[in-house]
Amino acid sequence: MMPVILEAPYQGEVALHLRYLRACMRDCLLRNEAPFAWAHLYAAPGVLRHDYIEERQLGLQAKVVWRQYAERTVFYSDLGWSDEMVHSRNVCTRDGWAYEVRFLNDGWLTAQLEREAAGDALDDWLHSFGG
Amino acid sequence: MMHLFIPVVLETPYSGAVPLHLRYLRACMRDCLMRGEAPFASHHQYTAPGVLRDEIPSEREHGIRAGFAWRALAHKTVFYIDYGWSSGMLDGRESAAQLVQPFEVRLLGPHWLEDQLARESRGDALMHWFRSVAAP
Repeated sequence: MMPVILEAPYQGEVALHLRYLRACMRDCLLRNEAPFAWAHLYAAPGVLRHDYIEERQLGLQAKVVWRQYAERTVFYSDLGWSDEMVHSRNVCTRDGWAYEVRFLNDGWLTAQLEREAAGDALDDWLHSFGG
Repeated sequence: MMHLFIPVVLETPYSGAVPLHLRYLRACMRDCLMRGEAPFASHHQYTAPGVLRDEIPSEREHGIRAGFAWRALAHKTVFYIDYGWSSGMLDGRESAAQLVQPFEVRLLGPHWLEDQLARESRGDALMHWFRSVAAP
């Protein structure tokens, strides 16, 4: 499978953006890509605090290490371009890294909620956040 | 200041006591980052709600194959074993051996959960992540 860096918005409507990020991860996997979604790792509760610039920068620098090994960066932009996505696209352009811009479709949230309901993970993940 | 991170694959248990294991995994990710490592943890991405279903063998296998794409690129694999070795971790150790890739075995120690809960309570993430898996 092809390793790719996945970029999607995080800040702002974080809960919606996380659901979107998960739908994008699935989209990549169905294209036979192995996505690296740094926000789904390093911004999780108790890892690095995304609202503290020093810790956010640590996460971004950790992502950069993996970019050099990825085949390309894929930007999912149904929900727009965050500052970090724009910065990342500029870095790709500047340094000659391949990238691609994608969209899911208008029905992505409905499809995501249906998949969540069909799987066993929802309760476990909810409890892992103290629910 | 720019830090130079080392890319590592992070292996911890997932199945069984999943909520506890997820919290443990997050504590391990932070431990790696504080050591100057950039951890890749496939089970904090591909098993998330609505991505791949770990309980469906074909989807679980797909996630393992995707994780392998990154393992081959990492400088080493790190295993955290406060909760023992899962079958997936044993497979990971076998894969690392086949790749002749270094690996390291670590423990967080008895206070990891207390520390993790304290960190969670200090950030804004918990509420957002909770809402991301709650009914909309």
